[in-house]
Amino acid sequence: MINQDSHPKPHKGDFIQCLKGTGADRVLLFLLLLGIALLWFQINQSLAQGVPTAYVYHQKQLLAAYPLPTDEQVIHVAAKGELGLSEIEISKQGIRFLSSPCATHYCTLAGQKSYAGSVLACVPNHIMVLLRGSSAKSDDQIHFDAITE
Amino acid sequence: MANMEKQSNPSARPSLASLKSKATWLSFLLLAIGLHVFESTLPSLGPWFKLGLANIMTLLALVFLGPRAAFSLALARVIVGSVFIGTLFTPTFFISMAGALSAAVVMVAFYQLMPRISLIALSLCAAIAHMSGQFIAVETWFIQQPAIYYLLPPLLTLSCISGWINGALASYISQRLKGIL
Repeated sequence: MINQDSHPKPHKGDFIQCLKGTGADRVLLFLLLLGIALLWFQINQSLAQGVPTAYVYHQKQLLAAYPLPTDEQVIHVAAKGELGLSEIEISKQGIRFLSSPCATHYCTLAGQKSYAGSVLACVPNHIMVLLRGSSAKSDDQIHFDAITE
Repeated sequence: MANMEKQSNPSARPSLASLKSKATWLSFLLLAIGLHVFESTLPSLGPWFKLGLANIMTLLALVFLGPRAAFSLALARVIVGSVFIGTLFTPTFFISMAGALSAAVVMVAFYQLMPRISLIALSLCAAIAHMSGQFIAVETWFIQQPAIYYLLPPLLTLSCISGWINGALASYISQRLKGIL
């Protein structure tokens, strides 16, 4: 039996107080976010160089590498994985999984990715697609810089 | 024979404190399984991102019952939870197990090394370990491409937010339970 009298009813303010955390908690959060931001920046810097190219992998094996088309051309890649064929679309807009034999379909639900460093993966089928090279947005920036020079 | 001896010897019976801690562990486990199953029904922000609500129960088990209870709770929660959601021995199960155990290891290590650490700080570290553990599992067993780690920064940012909220919830619940358990 729980003695209700010994346990005062919770106040709304108690949880808000917990949510604020201590000074040390805030410092830890700041340091973690700073570390993540630096990691993110480092990754973007290393992946944004060169022609935008889509790489399709099955585990350690590179199955295909296609530069992103600059026109309306659409490239379809059928990558054979552990469960079967995953169909990948590479277009001017970016990369996306069209279909996959996995049960969860997280890969197809992830939609289209167009930025350098974008990764799409079908984990059960062991297929990964990586987009390296500057994206269309970054290209615009490069052209603009060239004009100003 | 052994049973009869046990029955005739009252000292062989489990103590009330032991029974109480087992009952507490079981209630934490049931809540953790409930949260694990509930979370699987929520719309996800990304393929590998979950709020990690069940980690609240691991934190509480660590605070009230100790490191062994926290480890066993994390392990049992993933196994039983996966039975309920139908992902036992699928890639999701192994990724989930790697994340839960990594989080439990980090929680226990920090709790032992820094006894005055707050639950929010513990939860933050556990959330980061959970996400990193999942990615290491994916890279080692499934994708085998280090490029998969490029996905980490945005997901770690979300982990920090969810870790903070879970830590605050665990802190609030532990304050409420202190007089009871």
